[in-house]
Amino acid sequence: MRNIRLIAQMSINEMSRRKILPILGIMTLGFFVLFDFVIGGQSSAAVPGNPLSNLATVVGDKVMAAFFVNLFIGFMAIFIVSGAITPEVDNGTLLVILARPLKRWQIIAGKWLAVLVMQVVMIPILVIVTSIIVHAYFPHQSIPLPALMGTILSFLEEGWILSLLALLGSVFLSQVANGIMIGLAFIINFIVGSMAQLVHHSLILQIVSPTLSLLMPTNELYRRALFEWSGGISNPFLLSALGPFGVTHPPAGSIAIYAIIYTGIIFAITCRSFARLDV
Amino acid sequence: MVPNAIETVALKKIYGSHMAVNHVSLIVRRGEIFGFLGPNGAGKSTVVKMLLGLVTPTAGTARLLGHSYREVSIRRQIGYLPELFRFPPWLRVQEVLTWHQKLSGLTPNLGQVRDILQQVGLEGRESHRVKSLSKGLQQRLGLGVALIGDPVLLFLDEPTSAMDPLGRHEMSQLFKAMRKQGRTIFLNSHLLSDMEHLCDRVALIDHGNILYTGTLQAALQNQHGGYRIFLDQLPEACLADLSQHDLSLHPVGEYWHFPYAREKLPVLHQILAHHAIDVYEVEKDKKSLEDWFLESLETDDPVHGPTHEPKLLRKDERRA
Repeated sequence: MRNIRLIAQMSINEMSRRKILPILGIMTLGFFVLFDFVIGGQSSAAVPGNPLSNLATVVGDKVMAAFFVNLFIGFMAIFIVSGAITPEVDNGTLLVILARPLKRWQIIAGKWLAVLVMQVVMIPILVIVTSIIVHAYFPHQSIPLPALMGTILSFLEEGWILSLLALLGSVFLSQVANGIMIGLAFIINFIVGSMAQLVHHSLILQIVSPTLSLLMPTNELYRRALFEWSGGISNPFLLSALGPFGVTHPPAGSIAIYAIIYTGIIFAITCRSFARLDV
Repeated sequence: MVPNAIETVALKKIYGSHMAVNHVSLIVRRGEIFGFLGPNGAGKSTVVKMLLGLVTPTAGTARLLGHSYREVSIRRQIGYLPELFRFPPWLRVQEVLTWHQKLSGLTPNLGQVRDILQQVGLEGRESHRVKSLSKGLQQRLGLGVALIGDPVLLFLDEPTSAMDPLGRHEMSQLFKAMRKQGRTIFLNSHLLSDMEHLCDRVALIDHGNILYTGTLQAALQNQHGGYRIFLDQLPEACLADLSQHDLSLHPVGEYWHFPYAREKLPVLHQILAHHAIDVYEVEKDKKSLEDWFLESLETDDPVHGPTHEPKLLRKDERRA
């Protein structure tokens, strides 16, 4: 555990020294300010006697906020994690570390732990602060605590999976190639998932979308998070009116368990791949 | 009995269709500086990386300090300076060393850090950031990192390639001091002068094959270099006369080179005397290490030397 902690500390230190953490913090703060500004404008235009209209506004805002969190998670995997192994092997950083008495899986675990810590801090902040802003302007649109926790868990699992896939890719590919691969897989998954919200009679889509969800369940976790965050089954807009951005077929709660099993398998594959890598 | 520092048996590494290392069998004794010589791409670094578990051998095995090279814990007793390495540029010199102390399972010890910095000539630079160090100073820092934990076996891959002559001299002194302390140094280099002055024994590798293992003195002794003949002038008639006896002399700077065995010297003497040529000096032409190195590689034929074919012994066999 000590070695994992040391690698994680150094990785976090590196993110800080490379100004990744301050930039993430500043940009997130910028999002909060803009979000507050937009919601404030919407609340002044709200129709007091029409709660459905207000609900539609809030759901729209939450979809945008969820999309921001989704991008945040994607950017983190593409720009931070995708260069975790191969570039450090190429420039010799890992050579001096690997010659020390530590096991390779500990390096993978340490580097992943660093990203997990960042996500565990940043994602709840994003969800909670956004929810507080919404609640401040629309007091009747509060989200129950279990749903809030479910939202955060789904986003966290999405982040863990994406960062782990990026870590696995970094064992084999250069940072740019890996970033492109992970980024496009993430986007394709999202687009196919969005199309599946619209088209119900396409047999191919009904096969491709679940297959992709099994192979990379990030989109399912995103939809689950959005579903929880927007009031779940009681919200008519989410289920029918938002088209590709909504959740016409809410993923079951068991997606969280599948995500954990999936994460364990990918972690094992990543460790094994790195253990076999000639550096 | 103290086990050897390094024993390898038929180590082999194939990358795709490229044979990087082919049946390398070596024994490196405790307390010696062992030079691993070879041109670029010969397989030197690959052998070291296999011994450190950084590259998986296609075949063969190895023992370090009596333990399997696969044992992670053995690395506590081993120091490694790679040919190409990088420390995080924002770290301070002292932070690099303390971090590696922690990675080695040690408690950060500033006293040892200061000792190491003094040994590698970086005293007073504790608070300097890595990015502010020149390439040569970074190589000293790399050597300092390799010295963490008082390793008994050091793998140094081109340890002085970025250093100036003064730095190389200082490192040579350091390596000799470490040998006196009983440490074993496995030195990868193509700097022949370093090898000549430092190494107790060497191995020559090319295209993944070991061409020679033994002392450099033995290698050079076996090489016949002919004789250097110092004389004023050599008329054409004399050269023609030599040619009739299947002999020749070749001008090399201030002397003429006579590339034949000792038995041919009387014939040469007679011919030169016949042409009334004064001979001022005759000396044996010792081949340089560089000549030996180049010739060994050019012939691509293993130089006969005391090459070992070690066999890894089981515990009971070692006791016996």
